[in-house]
Formats: sequence, structure tokens, C-alpha cells
Amino acid sequence: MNKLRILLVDDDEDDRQFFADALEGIELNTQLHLLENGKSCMEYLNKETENLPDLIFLDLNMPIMNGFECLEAIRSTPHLKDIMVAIYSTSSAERDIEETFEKGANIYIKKPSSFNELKKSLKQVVKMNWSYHLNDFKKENFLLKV
Amino acid sequence: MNFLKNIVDDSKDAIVYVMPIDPQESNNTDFKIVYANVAAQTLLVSSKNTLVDHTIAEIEKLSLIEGLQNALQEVFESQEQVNIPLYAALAEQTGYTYATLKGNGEGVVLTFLFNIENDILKTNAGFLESANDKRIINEQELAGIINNSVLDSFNNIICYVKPTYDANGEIEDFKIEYINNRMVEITREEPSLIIGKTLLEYYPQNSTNGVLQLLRECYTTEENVEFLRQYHFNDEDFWFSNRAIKMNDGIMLFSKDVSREKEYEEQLFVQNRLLTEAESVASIGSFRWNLAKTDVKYSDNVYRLFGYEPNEFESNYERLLSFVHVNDVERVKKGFRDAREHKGRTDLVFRIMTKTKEIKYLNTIGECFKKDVNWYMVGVIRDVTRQIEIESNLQARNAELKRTNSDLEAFNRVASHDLQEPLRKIQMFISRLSDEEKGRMNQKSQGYLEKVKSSSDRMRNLINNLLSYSKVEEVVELPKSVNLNDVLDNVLDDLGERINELKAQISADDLPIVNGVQFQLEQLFTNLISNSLKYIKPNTETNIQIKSTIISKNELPQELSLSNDVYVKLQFLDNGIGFEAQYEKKIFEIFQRLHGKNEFTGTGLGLSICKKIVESHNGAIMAKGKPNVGAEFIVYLPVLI
Repeated sequence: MNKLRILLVDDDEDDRQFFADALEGIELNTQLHLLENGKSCMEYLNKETENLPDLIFLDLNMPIMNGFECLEAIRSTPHLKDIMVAIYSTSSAERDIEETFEKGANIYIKKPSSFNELKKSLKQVVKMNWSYHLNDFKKENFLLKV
Repeated sequence: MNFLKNIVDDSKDAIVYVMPIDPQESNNTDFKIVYANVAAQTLLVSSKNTLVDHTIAEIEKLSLIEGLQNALQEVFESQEQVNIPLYAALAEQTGYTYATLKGNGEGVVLTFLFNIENDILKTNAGFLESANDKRIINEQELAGIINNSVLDSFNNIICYVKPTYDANGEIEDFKIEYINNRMVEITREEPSLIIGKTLLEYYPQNSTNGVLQLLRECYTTEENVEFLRQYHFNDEDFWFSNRAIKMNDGIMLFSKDVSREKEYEEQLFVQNRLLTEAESVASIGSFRWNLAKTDVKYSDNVYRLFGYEPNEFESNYERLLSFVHVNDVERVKKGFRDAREHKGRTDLVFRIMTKTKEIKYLNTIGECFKKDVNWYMVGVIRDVTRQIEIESNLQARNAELKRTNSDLEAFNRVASHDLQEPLRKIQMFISRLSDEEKGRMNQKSQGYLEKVKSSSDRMRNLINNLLSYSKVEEVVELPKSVNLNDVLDNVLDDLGERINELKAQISADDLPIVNGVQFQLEQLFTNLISNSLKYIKPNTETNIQIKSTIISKNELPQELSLSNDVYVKLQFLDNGIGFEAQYEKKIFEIFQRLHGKNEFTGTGLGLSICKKIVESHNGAIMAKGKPNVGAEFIVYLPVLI
């Protein structure tokens, strides 16, 4: 079985570390790539056309190019528009959630405040049967409450 | 016949006698004027020109009267009486409102009736202006034309009396030589029954009411006398406005029945008094403006509003404008212009400078209406300076409040949102630290870590509450019908763990449906119930009761000012530790905690959030407590019936 390719875009070094550790901790067959803002994300995605990620975790509040802009760029690029995007942010503001869903996000995860919770939610997301859920996501967005 | 001519010439009613030019021609013949009295002369042509010998068509004012030619033709043939209205411009300028046409043998008598109602209140006996005898036609001609029917067509009682003398040569009475048939309408007596009697025989009170004396004076001094007297005929009271004129060896008496006018006058007097009183109490003035003119009639209070004594300044439109603040003048002009043009309503607020150089705000509201041929604007002027000042103070304070609010909001955002970020990290590191170092730390360090953990948990709690407190007002969701039973079920579900832990007994009435925001109402119920689950008495079974009663507005506690008609009164009762009655209000204030932090968990925001939610639902919340007995929270929410 192929590894699930995951891309995390987050400017916070600690958060990147937490994420990487948590992903490693859940011991599932994944491959992680880390980037620090929207701009580097778009450069990466436009370059690695052969080896695109299956799932992108996107922080919202980032310098240079923030999560909203990056999401818009992904959804307006033909070869990227079908990639699963999970928003991964501290914000729990109603309007942020709504806006990202409007712009085409598939999942919204509020950054948890305990390591165990983080592992739990990553497990949930990674273990999802993507192809099975694909149509559901398109119909209805998915807010992951942890 | 000489006196008859005098009567006719003396009348304020304009009288014209016309004859057809060609009596044989049944259609379309014009009429020629053969006689006109002074009033007619003044009314219809300038004094230099004469009416006599002209045709109707040649006199512009007559030719403008719609249907006059036809009416003359008709009356000439039928010999009956017809009234036709005069055209607006003529009526407005002169006060004559309609013409009476009466067939009279060879011709038609045209009487233009002066609008007595307008005039009578100004001068009670002034319906006959003195007219210098201008001979328009010679007396013989007049005698040929005029007969009593002309006099009978008058509105007034006309009577000619001659004095009778006693043995000493003093006037003791007057004998009635002539009276027209107007008395018939009042006393049902034919003139023939009156003529020949003396004034005292006919109406003995004439000696006691001073009339006899007045007539004596009139006769001896030859000066005209005017007087108003009340008479009593057939059990009815009449007011007569009288004028006596010495003529030859007798007195011509003109009397006008002004009973109705007198009655109106009294009513008007009473109403005016009432209005004046009301105006000065309410500091309102009123005005009446004939739109065709520049004169405006003000009530006394209008002058006072401008800082003047009644009638101290000229009552016209231009003068009014001179008080108006320069920056408002154009707007006021335009407002009145529009109202004048469209006969609509004006409602203007403008500044004026009073006599004492004081700036005042006035509000004038006027409505246009039509009476007879004229358009009038009637309205009120009131001083709204205080309202405006209060309003602008309020606006300034509102703006300030808004600023403070948005400052607070910004602070809240920073405090809640930006603080969350580092806090989350702290908690994340703590959780990793406690995971990884489990069992490796000594007891003391383990204890420190626990303290760090619980402090950061409290901080998170506080931040979340702050966030939801500031969020109550920025709800995007529109209110919907919310079943409070569902709200309660959800809340009890969420609190299930704590309820089971305490083995708390919770009972609730059937709850109504209200208009509101579901998640806010859930938060309200959560906060109130978890409050009861928090402040429990040790070694006592926790009991929570939720009661619901539908009440009408007048059953609300008096200190609440709520406007809906029907409310649900929700009572959340518990048997917990309660609180002192003095804290009943304080308990809802932000960050108000009645207990030390270590006794009970909590941020001191829960009840402030409740208050905010209830108030944003147009309701009210109150608290009642008794130490060691329990607490009661009462929520009033409007319900739709």
C-alpha cells in the first residue's frame, strides 16, 4: 500500500514539530513534507507535479502568503483543485471556518492544546477512507471537533 | 320713494337691475344695466366709469361669472330666484361670494351678497358702510324700477320709524312707518301687522334695553348709532346687530339677525381661550396663513417663542424669515414653497435668533386645506431646543460608548484570540512533558507540573468565557422559534457526567417555545444549571428545579421595563449554598465572584454572559438567594402567543 503523502504548511516551528511528532506517534503509513508559508507551498506544488500530496494541512495565519490566499491559489490551479485541504488553525471563529469552506477547504481542525488530542485528530483524518468520503466532502464540508 | 333709494344706495349688498335688450328674442339676448347702486359700482367697475347703459358682456367682471347670461335668461322667463357663485378671484378680492338673481317683471334684480359671516365678527354692526349719496340714475327712473321686492331681497330687516312726541315736545316713542318682510322669518308676522305700531307697542322692552334712548339720540344728534341687542320672540332668543341712520324726518333702522354668528362667536371665544391656555402650557404656538397672501395670523404664543410680546412684530412671512438662522433660511423657504405649491404637509426644524439673541430650535408642522375659494396653511410652531440638545448629547454619548465598546472589543480580541496562541503552546508542552517524564519526576516536581497545568486550564477557561461574552452581541444567526424543552435536553445531555457524579435530581416543567438563538439559549441554561451544580452544599442531595409560568406584562416585577405583552417566567431553583440578598444585583456584574478562587472553580463571567444573552433576547434576569438554603434565578423571556 502506498504511503499517504501529507503536506503541512505552518510558519510556527513548534507547531510543525508537534505535528511531525504526533504523526509519527500514530504509526500509520504516511510521508510528511513541511513548509512554512503559502508562497513556498505554491512553489512546491507547481514544481512537484509528479509527486503531489494526497492531503494538505494549511495554517491560516502565516507571513508572505496566508492560508486563505494559499487555499484560493490551490483551488484556482487546475492540477491542484481536487487535492484534499484541511485547515489547521488556532482560530475557532465562525467566520474563519465559513470563509475557508466557501473557498474550498474540505476539513477544519482547530489546533488542540494537548498532544494526545492532536494525535487523536490526526489519526481520525489519516484513517479516513478518502476515496469513499470524497463525494461526501464535496457535498458537505467537514468540521473536525476535537 | 326717496328713502328707498337711500336704502338701496346705502346697502353693502351690490344691487344691479338689468333688462333684456330684446325681450322678444328668447335665446342669446344680452341684458342691459338700467340701475346700479354704489356698492355695485365699486364692486364691478372703477368709480369713474358707470355701469348703467352697458350690457353684461361689456362689463368684464360680469362676463367672467360663469353661467350668468344663461341664468339671467332663465330667471327672466321663470321669474323665480336663482343663486350662482362668483368666481374665486372676485370672491377673494372683494368678500362677495355669490349673486342672487330674482325676476322682477320687466327685468331681473341682481344682488351680490356681501359675505356677512366674514365681516360680522370684525364690526358687529358694520354690514352697512356709509355711502355718500352718489346719484347714479335720477330719482324718477329709480322710482320706476325699484319696488319693495328689491328691499325684500335683502338679508336684513329694514325699518323706517318716525318719532312721536309727548305733551312737552319730547320724543316719547317711534312709529313704524315701513318694515320689509324679513321679520316674517323670525316672528311669522306680516309687515302689514307691524306697520302702524310704535316701537314700544311692538316690543315694550325697547324702553328698558336702552334702544329708545339710543334712537332719540340718533334723531336729535343726527349721528349714526350702532348697537347689538338681544330680543326674545316666540320663546326664542335672537341677537340683532342694528344700525340707525337719521333720514329726513325719521330714522332708518337696519337690523341683522346675528344669533348664529353670536353663538359661533361665543364658541370661538371659548375655544380660543382653551387654545391659548393649551399653547402656553405646551409652549406651542399656532398660525394660520392664507396662502394667497403674505400675512400670517399668529397666536400670542408664537410671539413669545420668538421672545416678543404678542403682536410686537409684523405678522408676515418675510418678517418670520428674518428670525431664521442664515444657514437654515434656504431650507425653510424651500419647505414653505413646496408646501404652497403642492398643498402638502411641511415639517421643518430650524434655528432662530430670539429677541434676546438666544438661539432656539423650532419645529413647525403645517397642513394645507381649502376653505371656500382660498387655500390656507394651518400649523403649529414649537420649541424643540431641549429635545435637540438631549438628542445631540445622546448622540455624542452613543458615539463615545461605541468607541469604548470597540476598544473593548479590540481588547477582547487581543486578550482572547492572541492569548490563546501562546497558551495553547504552553499546554501542549505541558502535556508532552507530563507524558514523557511520567514516573521520572519526583513528587514535588510532579506537584509543580500539576499546578502549572491547572493554572493554564483556568486561563483557557477564562479566555473562552471572555470570548463568548464578547460574542453575545455579534451573533450572525437570526432568531428562530426555539423549543426550550429541546434546549434543556441538550444541556442536560452535555452536563450528564457532572449530574451523574453528584446524583443530582433535576425536574422541569414543560417549557414553551420562544423566539431566539438556540446556541445562546443553550449557553444560558448551561451556565445557570452548571452554577447550581457547582455551588452545592456538602452532604446534601443536590436538587434542581426548573419552573415555567406564562405571565402577562403587568405581572412583571415593577422595576423591569419590558414591552412585550406576554412573557415566560423561568425559575431555576436549587438547594445549594445560596448567597446573601445584598449580592442579588452584583452577581451579574462582570468578573464578580462571591467566593474565593480555590473554593469553587469559575471565572466570574458565567452570569454576566447569562445577563447579556437574556437582554439580547429582550428579556430580563434576576437572582434571589438565601445563604445555606439555595439560589433562585428568574429569567423572563418574551413569548409569542
